[in-house]
Amino acid sequence: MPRVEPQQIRNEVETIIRRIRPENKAEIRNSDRLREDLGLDSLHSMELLSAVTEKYEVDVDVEQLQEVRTVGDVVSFLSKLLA
Amino acid sequence: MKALVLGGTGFVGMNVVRALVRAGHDVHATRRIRDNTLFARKLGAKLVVAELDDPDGLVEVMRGREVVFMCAAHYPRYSIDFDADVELARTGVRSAVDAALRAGVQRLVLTSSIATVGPPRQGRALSNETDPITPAASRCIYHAVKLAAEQEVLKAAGQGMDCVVLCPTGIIGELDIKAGTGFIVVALSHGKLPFHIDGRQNIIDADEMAAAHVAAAERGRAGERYIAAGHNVTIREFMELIAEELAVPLHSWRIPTWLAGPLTTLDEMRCAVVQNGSRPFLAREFVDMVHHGQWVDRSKSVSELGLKDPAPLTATIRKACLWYERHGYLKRREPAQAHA
Repeated sequence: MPRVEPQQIRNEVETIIRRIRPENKAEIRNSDRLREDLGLDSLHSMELLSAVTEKYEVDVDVEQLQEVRTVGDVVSFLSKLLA
Repeated sequence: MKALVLGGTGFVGMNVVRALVRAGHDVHATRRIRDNTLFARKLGAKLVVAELDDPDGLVEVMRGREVVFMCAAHYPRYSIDFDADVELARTGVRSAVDAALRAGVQRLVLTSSIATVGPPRQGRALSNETDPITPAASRCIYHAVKLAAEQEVLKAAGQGMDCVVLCPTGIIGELDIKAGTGFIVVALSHGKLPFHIDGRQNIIDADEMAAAHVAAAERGRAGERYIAAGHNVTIREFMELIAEELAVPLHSWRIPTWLAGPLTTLDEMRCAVVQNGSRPFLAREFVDMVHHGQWVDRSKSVSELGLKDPAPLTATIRKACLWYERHGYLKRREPAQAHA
Protein backbone atom coordinates (compact mmCIF):
# COMPACT_ATOMS: atom_id res chain seq x y z
CA MET A 1 0.00 0.00 0.00
CA PRO A 2 1.39 3.46 -0.85
CA ARG A 3 2.45 5.69 2.01
CA VAL A 4 -0.46 7.62 3.47
CA GLU A 5 0.08 11.15 4.73
CA PRO A 6 -0.72 11.73 8.40
CA GLN A 7 -3.05 14.58 7.45
CA GLN A 8 -5.09 12.21 5.30
CA ILE A 9 -5.35 9.77 8.19
CA ARG A 10 -6.25 12.66 10.48
CA ASN A 11 -9.12 13.67 8.18
CA GLU A 12 -10.37 10.11 8.01
CA VAL A 13 -10.26 9.73 11.78
CA GLU A 14 -12.21 12.95 12.22
CA THR A 15 -14.84 11.85 9.69
CA ILE A 16 -15.36 8.57 11.51
CA ILE A 17 -15.54 10.24 14.93
CA ARG A 18 -18.23 12.58 13.61
CA ARG A 19 -20.10 9.61 12.19
CA ILE A 20 -19.98 7.79 15.52
CA ARG A 21 -20.85 10.87 17.59
CA PRO A 22 -22.80 13.14 15.23
CA GLU A 23 -23.97 15.33 18.10
CA ASN A 24 -20.38 16.43 18.68
CA LYS A 25 -20.16 19.65 16.67
CA ALA A 26 -17.06 21.13 18.31
CA GLU A 27 -13.65 21.29 16.70
CA ILE A 28 -11.70 18.06 17.12
CA ARG A 29 -8.10 18.52 18.22
CA ASN A 30 -5.23 16.06 18.26
CA SER A 31 -4.97 16.42 22.02
CA ASP A 32 -8.63 15.44 22.54
CA ARG A 33 -8.95 12.27 24.57
CA LEU A 34 -11.30 9.79 22.96
CA ARG A 35 -13.21 8.99 26.12
CA GLU A 36 -13.05 12.08 28.31
CA ASP A 37 -13.20 14.80 25.66
CA LEU A 38 -15.06 13.19 22.78
CA GLY A 39 -17.33 10.88 24.74
CA LEU A 40 -16.27 7.72 22.90
CA ASP A 41 -16.68 4.71 25.16
CA SER A 42 -14.54 1.65 24.66
CA LEU A 43 -16.95 0.17 22.09
CA HIS A 44 -16.95 3.45 20.13
CA SER A 45 -13.16 3.51 20.22
CA MET A 46 -13.03 -0.02 18.85
CA GLU A 47 -15.50 0.98 16.14
CA LEU A 48 -13.27 3.92 15.21
CA LEU A 49 -10.15 1.78 15.07
CA SER A 50 -11.93 -0.97 13.20
CA ALA A 51 -13.17 1.46 10.56
CA VAL A 52 -9.88 3.23 10.09
CA THR A 53 -7.79 0.03 9.94
CA GLU A 54 -10.22 -1.41 7.40
CA LYS A 55 -10.00 1.75 5.34
CA TYR A 56 -6.22 1.42 5.09
CA GLU A 57 -6.23 -2.38 5.03
CA VAL A 58 -3.95 -2.83 7.99
CA ASP A 59 -4.25 -5.53 10.59
CA VAL A 60 -3.71 -4.85 14.27
CA ASP A 61 -3.72 -6.75 17.52
CA VAL A 62 -6.48 -5.36 19.66
CA GLU A 63 -4.12 -5.51 22.63
CA GLN A 64 -1.95 -2.86 20.93
CA LEU A 65 -4.83 -0.43 20.86
CA GLN A 66 -5.05 -0.07 24.61
CA GLU A 67 -2.32 2.58 24.54
CA VAL A 68 -4.30 4.71 22.10
CA ARG A 69 -5.94 7.46 24.15
CA THR A 70 -6.13 10.63 22.04
CA VAL A 71 -6.94 11.56 18.46
CA GLY A 72 -3.22 12.21 17.94
CA ASP A 73 -2.42 8.72 19.28
CA VAL A 74 -4.74 7.17 16.68
CA VAL A 75 -3.12 9.15 13.88
CA SER A 76 0.45 8.39 14.93
CA PHE A 77 -0.35 4.72 15.54
CA LEU A 78 -1.66 4.38 11.99
CA SER A 79 1.03 6.58 10.49
CA LYS A 80 3.68 4.25 11.87
CA LEU A 81 1.88 1.21 10.49
CA LEU A 82 1.55 2.82 7.07
CA ALA A 83 4.99 4.42 6.89
CA MET B 1 -20.23 -28.00 5.48
CA LYS B 2 -20.51 -24.72 3.64
CA ALA B 3 -21.77 -22.46 6.39
CA LEU B 4 -22.94 -18.89 6.64
CA VAL B 5 -23.09 -17.24 10.04
CA LEU B 6 -25.45 -14.28 10.18
CA GLY B 7 -24.20 -11.88 12.81
CA GLY B 8 -20.57 -12.82 12.40
CA THR B 9 -19.26 -9.87 14.37
CA GLY B 10 -21.31 -10.52 17.51
CA PHE B 11 -20.38 -12.55 20.57
CA VAL B 12 -22.36 -15.67 19.66
CA GLY B 13 -21.63 -15.39 15.95
CA MET B 14 -17.88 -15.06 16.38
CA ASN B 15 -17.70 -18.04 18.69
CA VAL B 16 -19.75 -20.10 16.23
CA VAL B 17 -17.48 -18.98 13.37
CA ARG B 18 -14.41 -19.97 15.33
CA ALA B 19 -15.82 -23.39 16.20
CA LEU B 20 -16.78 -24.05 12.58
CA VAL B 21 -13.41 -22.95 11.23
CA ARG B 22 -11.57 -25.06 13.80
CA ALA B 23 -13.66 -28.05 12.75
CA GLY B 24 -12.54 -27.54 9.17
CA HIS B 25 -15.74 -26.14 7.68
CA ASP B 26 -15.93 -23.56 4.90
CA VAL B 27 -17.31 -20.49 6.65
CA HIS B 28 -18.69 -17.19 5.49
CA ALA B 29 -19.92 -14.69 8.06
CA THR B 30 -21.99 -11.57 7.69
CA ARG B 31 -21.20 -8.15 9.02
CA ARG B 32 -22.99 -4.87 8.80
CA ILE B 33 -21.07 -2.20 6.97
CA ARG B 34 -20.21 -0.27 10.14
CA ASP B 35 -19.58 -3.19 12.47
CA ASN B 36 -16.43 -3.46 14.52
CA THR B 37 -14.49 -6.21 12.76
CA LEU B 38 -11.28 -6.01 14.79
CA PHE B 39 -11.90 -9.49 16.17
CA ALA B 40 -14.10 -11.02 13.48
CA ARG B 41 -11.62 -10.53 10.68
CA LYS B 42 -9.07 -12.74 12.45
CA LEU B 43 -11.26 -15.82 12.81
CA GLY B 44 -10.70 -17.39 9.42
CA ALA B 45 -14.11 -16.80 7.86
CA LYS B 46 -14.81 -14.74 4.78
CA LEU B 47 -16.67 -11.62 5.92
CA VAL B 48 -19.53 -10.51 3.69
CA VAL B 49 -21.77 -7.49 4.11
CA ALA B 50 -25.46 -8.16 4.71
CA GLU B 51 -28.33 -6.60 6.62
CA LEU B 52 -31.48 -8.27 7.86
CA ASP B 53 -33.57 -5.56 6.19
CA ASP B 54 -32.07 -6.25 2.75
CA PRO B 55 -33.74 -9.46 1.47
CA ASP B 56 -31.95 -9.52 -1.89
CA GLY B 57 -28.59 -9.00 -0.21
CA LEU B 58 -29.35 -11.89 2.13
CA VAL B 59 -30.20 -14.18 -0.76
CA GLU B 60 -26.94 -13.22 -2.43
CA VAL B 61 -24.77 -14.13 0.57
CA MET B 62 -26.75 -17.32 1.26
CA ARG B 63 -26.46 -18.68 -2.25
CA GLY B 64 -24.29 -21.81 -2.30
CA ARG B 65 -24.29 -22.11 1.49
CA GLU B 66 -25.62 -25.37 2.92
CA VAL B 67 -26.27 -24.28 6.49
CA VAL B 68 -27.17 -20.83 7.75
CA PHE B 69 -26.66 -20.01 11.42
CA MET B 70 -28.95 -17.18 12.43
CA CYS B 71 -26.94 -15.54 15.18
CA ALA B 72 -28.08 -12.07 14.17
CA ALA B 73 -31.17 -10.55 15.69
CA HIS B 74 -32.72 -7.33 16.76
CA TYR B 75 -33.01 -7.27 20.51
CA PRO B 76 -33.05 -4.07 22.45
CA ARG B 77 -31.60 -3.69 25.93
CA TYR B 78 -34.78 -1.88 26.79
CA SER B 79 -37.76 -0.76 24.84
CA ILE B 80 -39.89 2.34 24.67
CA ASP B 81 -42.09 0.80 21.96
CA PHE B 82 -42.62 -2.84 22.84
CA ASP B 83 -44.77 -3.84 19.88
CA ALA B 84 -42.55 -2.10 17.35
CA ASP B 85 -39.44 -3.81 18.71
CA VAL B 86 -41.08 -7.23 18.64
CA GLU B 87 -42.28 -6.63 15.09
CA LEU B 88 -38.81 -5.51 14.03
CA ALA B 89 -37.34 -8.73 15.43
CA ARG B 90 -40.02 -10.80 13.75
CA THR B 91 -39.50 -9.05 10.42
CA GLY B 92 -35.76 -9.60 10.54
CA VAL B 93 -36.12 -13.32 11.11
CA ARG B 94 -38.82 -13.64 8.47
CA SER B 95 -36.56 -11.85 6.02
CA ALA B 96 -33.72 -14.30 6.74
CA VAL B 97 -36.00 -17.34 6.50
CA ASP B 98 -37.46 -16.15 3.18
CA ALA B 99 -33.96 -15.50 1.85
CA ALA B 100 -32.84 -18.97 2.91
CA LEU B 101 -35.76 -20.51 1.03
CA ARG B 102 -34.99 -18.47 -2.08
CA ALA B 103 -31.29 -19.29 -1.91
CA GLY B 104 -31.89 -23.02 -1.50
CA VAL B 105 -30.24 -23.30 1.90
CA GLN B 106 -30.53 -26.85 3.26
CA ARG B 107 -30.73 -26.09 6.97
CA LEU B 108 -31.25 -23.13 9.27
CA VAL B 109 -30.00 -23.06 12.85
CA LEU B 110 -31.57 -20.31 14.93
CA THR B 111 -29.81 -18.97 18.00
CA SER B 112 -32.74 -18.43 20.33
CA SER B 113 -32.43 -18.17 24.10
CA ILE B 114 -33.30 -19.92 27.30
CA ALA B 115 -35.72 -16.99 27.68
CA THR B 116 -38.15 -19.02 25.58
CA VAL B 117 -38.20 -21.86 28.12
CA GLY B 118 -40.52 -21.51 31.09
CA PRO B 119 -40.63 -22.87 34.63
CA PRO B 120 -40.69 -26.65 35.16
CA ARG B 121 -44.08 -28.33 35.20
CA GLN B 122 -45.38 -31.71 36.33
CA GLY B 123 -43.39 -31.63 39.58
CA ARG B 124 -40.03 -31.57 37.83
CA ALA B 125 -37.12 -29.71 39.42
CA LEU B 126 -35.59 -28.69 36.10
CA SER B 127 -37.12 -27.05 33.06
CA ASN B 128 -36.90 -28.64 29.66
CA GLU B 129 -37.79 -27.76 26.07
CA THR B 130 -41.48 -28.56 26.60
CA ASP B 131 -42.05 -25.89 29.27
CA PRO B 132 -43.70 -22.74 27.88
CA ILE B 133 -42.86 -19.32 29.26
CA THR B 134 -45.30 -17.58 31.56
CA PRO B 135 -47.53 -14.71 30.42
CA ALA B 136 -45.55 -12.41 32.72
CA ALA B 137 -42.27 -13.39 31.06
CA SER B 138 -43.74 -12.90 27.60
CA ARG B 139 -44.31 -9.25 28.51
CA CYS B 140 -40.55 -8.74 28.98
CA ILE B 141 -38.96 -7.31 25.85
CA TYR B 142 -36.04 -9.73 25.66
CA HIS B 143 -38.30 -12.75 26.13
CA ALA B 144 -40.83 -11.39 23.66
CA VAL B 145 -38.36 -10.79 20.81
CA LYS B 146 -36.75 -14.18 21.27
CA LEU B 147 -40.14 -15.88 21.33
CA ALA B 148 -41.21 -14.02 18.19
CA ALA B 149 -38.03 -15.11 16.40
CA GLU B 150 -38.60 -18.72 17.36
CA GLN B 151 -42.21 -18.61 16.25
CA GLU B 152 -41.17 -17.35 12.83
CA VAL B 153 -38.60 -20.07 12.38
CA LEU B 154 -40.83 -22.86 13.67
CA LYS B 155 -43.58 -21.62 11.36
CA ALA B 156 -41.16 -22.07 8.45
CA ALA B 157 -40.33 -25.52 9.82
CA GLY B 158 -44.01 -26.35 9.69
CA GLN B 159 -43.98 -25.36 6.02
CA GLY B 160 -41.13 -27.70 5.20
CA MET B 161 -38.03 -25.62 5.86
CA ASP B 162 -35.36 -27.61 7.70
CA CYS B 163 -34.84 -25.57 10.88
CA VAL B 164 -33.29 -26.32 14.25
CA VAL B 165 -33.62 -23.98 17.23
CA LEU B 166 -30.97 -23.72 19.91
CA CYS B 167 -31.70 -22.11 23.28
CA PRO B 168 -28.44 -21.15 25.00
CA THR B 169 -28.39 -20.14 28.64
CA GLY B 170 -26.21 -17.31 30.00
CA ILE B 171 -23.01 -17.34 27.95
CA ILE B 172 -19.59 -16.61 29.40
CA GLY B 173 -16.35 -16.67 27.47
CA GLU B 174 -14.04 -15.13 24.93
CA LEU B 175 -14.91 -12.59 22.22
CA ASP B 176 -17.58 -10.99 24.41
CA ILE B 177 -16.99 -7.52 23.04
CA LYS B 178 -20.11 -5.98 24.50
CA ALA B 179 -19.89 -7.87 27.79
CA GLY B 180 -23.34 -9.52 27.75
CA THR B 181 -23.79 -11.90 30.66
CA GLY B 182 -20.12 -11.16 31.24
CA PHE B 183 -20.99 -7.66 32.38
CA ILE B 184 -21.14 -9.23 35.84
CA VAL B 185 -17.44 -10.09 35.55
CA VAL B 186 -16.46 -6.64 34.32
CA ALA B 187 -18.65 -4.77 36.80
CA LEU B 188 -17.43 -6.82 39.76
CA SER B 189 -13.82 -6.23 38.82
CA HIS B 190 -14.40 -2.47 38.87
CA GLY B 191 -16.51 -2.54 42.04
CA LYS B 192 -19.50 -1.32 40.06
CA LEU B 193 -22.11 -3.86 40.98
CA PRO B 194 -23.49 -2.40 44.19
CA PHE B 195 -26.86 -4.12 43.67
CA HIS B 196 -27.98 -7.40 42.25
CA ILE B 197 -31.02 -9.57 42.26
CA ASP B 198 -30.62 -13.22 43.03
CA GLY B 199 -32.24 -16.14 41.30
CA ARG B 200 -31.70 -19.32 39.37
CA GLN B 201 -29.64 -19.23 36.21
CA ASN B 202 -27.69 -21.57 34.04
CA ILE B 203 -24.30 -20.58 32.67
CA ILE B 204 -22.69 -22.09 29.57
CA ASP B 205 -19.12 -21.72 28.34
CA ALA B 206 -18.97 -19.84 25.01
CA ASP B 207 -16.93 -22.64 23.44
CA GLU B 208 -19.54 -25.19 24.48
CA MET B 209 -22.33 -22.95 23.22
CA ALA B 210 -20.56 -22.77 19.86
CA ALA B 211 -20.00 -26.54 19.79
CA ALA B 212 -23.73 -26.96 20.43
CA HIS B 213 -24.44 -24.89 17.31
CA VAL B 214 -22.21 -27.11 15.19
CA ALA B 215 -23.84 -30.21 16.70
CA ALA B 216 -27.31 -28.78 16.05
CA ALA B 217 -26.41 -28.32 12.39
CA GLU B 218 -24.98 -31.81 12.10
CA ARG B 219 -27.28 -33.87 14.31
CA GLY B 220 -30.32 -31.82 15.30
CA ARG B 221 -33.74 -33.04 14.23
CA ALA B 222 -35.62 -30.65 11.97
CA GLY B 223 -38.23 -28.57 13.75
CA GLU B 224 -36.81 -29.32 17.20
CA ARG B 225 -35.65 -27.00 19.98
CA TYR B 226 -32.60 -27.81 22.06
CA ILE B 227 -31.41 -26.25 25.29
CA ALA B 228 -27.67 -25.47 25.22
CA ALA B 229 -26.77 -25.35 28.89
CA GLY B 230 -23.87 -25.66 31.29
CA HIS B 231 -24.15 -25.26 35.05
CA ASN B 232 -27.23 -24.56 37.15
CA VAL B 233 -26.28 -21.92 39.73
CA THR B 234 -27.71 -18.99 41.60
CA ILE B 235 -26.58 -15.53 40.62
CA ARG B 236 -25.05 -15.14 44.06
CA GLU B 237 -23.03 -18.34 43.68
CA PHE B 238 -21.89 -17.20 40.24
CA MET B 239 -20.81 -13.83 41.62
CA GLU B 240 -18.92 -15.50 44.46
CA LEU B 241 -16.96 -17.63 41.98
CA ILE B 242 -16.12 -14.56 39.89
CA ALA B 243 -15.04 -12.55 42.93
CA GLU B 244 -12.86 -15.44 44.01
CA GLU B 245 -11.22 -15.66 40.58
CA LEU B 246 -10.64 -11.90 40.48
CA ALA B 247 -9.58 -11.80 44.13
CA VAL B 248 -11.91 -8.87 44.77
CA PRO B 249 -14.30 -8.40 47.68
CA LEU B 250 -17.92 -9.10 46.87
CA HIS B 251 -19.69 -5.94 47.99
CA SER B 252 -23.08 -6.13 46.32
CA TRP B 253 -26.44 -5.84 47.99
CA ARG B 254 -29.19 -8.19 47.04
CA ILE B 255 -32.30 -6.20 46.27
CA PRO B 256 -35.77 -7.68 46.02
CA THR B 257 -37.16 -8.32 42.56
CA TRP B 258 -40.13 -5.98 43.15
CA LEU B 259 -37.66 -3.12 43.64
CA ALA B 260 -35.45 -4.03 40.68
CA GLY B 261 -38.20 -3.35 38.14
CA PRO B 262 -38.83 0.29 39.11
CA LEU B 263 -35.09 0.92 39.59
CA THR B 264 -34.42 -0.38 36.10
CA THR B 265 -37.10 1.90 34.68
CA LEU B 266 -35.53 4.92 36.40
CA ASP B 267 -32.13 3.91 35.09
CA GLU B 268 -33.44 3.60 31.54
CA MET B 269 -35.01 7.05 31.84
CA ARG B 270 -31.63 8.42 32.92
CA CYS B 271 -30.01 6.88 29.83
CA ALA B 272 -32.74 8.21 27.58
CA VAL B 273 -32.35 11.72 29.01
CA VAL B 274 -28.55 11.97 28.85
CA GLN B 275 -28.53 10.48 25.32
CA ASN B 276 -24.82 9.81 25.27
CA GLY B 277 -25.07 6.11 24.66
CA SER B 278 -24.86 5.44 28.37
CA ARG B 279 -25.65 1.88 29.27
CA PRO B 280 -28.26 1.18 31.95
CA PHE B 281 -26.58 0.42 35.23
CA LEU B 282 -29.11 -2.26 36.00
CA ALA B 283 -29.74 -4.01 32.71
CA ARG B 284 -33.38 -4.75 31.97
CA GLU B 285 -32.66 -8.05 30.29
CA PHE B 286 -30.58 -9.16 33.26
CA VAL B 287 -33.34 -8.34 35.71
CA ASP B 288 -35.93 -10.04 33.52
CA MET B 289 -33.75 -13.08 32.90
CA VAL B 290 -33.06 -13.58 36.59
CA HIS B 291 -36.63 -12.86 37.61
CA HIS B 292 -37.95 -15.45 35.17
CA GLY B 293 -34.91 -17.71 35.26
CA GLN B 294 -34.83 -21.36 36.13
CA TRP B 295 -32.54 -24.32 36.29
CA VAL B 296 -32.62 -26.46 33.20
CA ASP B 297 -32.32 -30.03 32.04
CA ARG B 298 -29.82 -30.55 29.23
CA SER B 299 -30.53 -34.24 28.68
CA LYS B 300 -32.23 -33.84 25.29
CA SER B 301 -29.19 -32.02 23.91
CA VAL B 302 -26.87 -34.61 25.44
CA SER B 303 -28.74 -37.56 23.97
CA GLU B 304 -29.60 -36.11 20.56
CA LEU B 305 -26.80 -33.63 19.85
CA GLY B 306 -24.11 -35.51 21.74
CA LEU B 307 -23.13 -32.57 23.95
CA LYS B 308 -20.40 -33.41 26.43
CA ASP B 309 -20.23 -32.66 30.13
CA PRO B 310 -19.54 -28.97 30.71
CA ALA B 311 -16.11 -27.78 31.81
CA PRO B 312 -15.94 -26.72 35.47
CA LEU B 313 -17.55 -23.32 35.89
CA THR B 314 -14.39 -22.00 37.52
CA ALA B 315 -12.44 -22.83 34.34
CA THR B 316 -15.01 -21.00 32.20
CA ILE B 317 -14.91 -17.96 34.46
CA ARG B 318 -11.10 -17.98 34.38
CA LYS B 319 -11.03 -18.12 30.60
CA ALA B 320 -13.45 -15.21 30.35
CA CYS B 321 -11.50 -13.16 32.90
CA LEU B 322 -8.26 -13.68 31.02
CA TRP B 323 -9.88 -12.54 27.78
CA TYR B 324 -11.41 -9.44 29.37
CA GLU B 325 -8.10 -8.68 31.02
CA ARG B 326 -6.08 -9.08 27.84
CA HIS B 327 -8.37 -6.65 26.07
CA GLY B 328 -8.49 -3.97 28.69
CA TYR B 329 -11.91 -4.63 30.23
CA LEU B 330 -10.34 -5.58 33.56
CA LYS B 331 -7.42 -4.10 35.40
CA ARG B 332 -4.24 -6.04 34.83
CA ARG B 333 -3.62 -8.53 37.58
CA GLU B 334 -0.30 -9.93 38.67
CA PRO B 335 0.50 -13.11 36.70
CA ALA B 336 0.13 -15.30 39.79
CA GLN B 337 -3.18 -13.64 40.55
CA ALA B 338 -4.40 -14.11 36.99
CA HIS B 339 -3.48 -17.82 37.06
CA ALA B 340 -1.93 -17.33 33.61
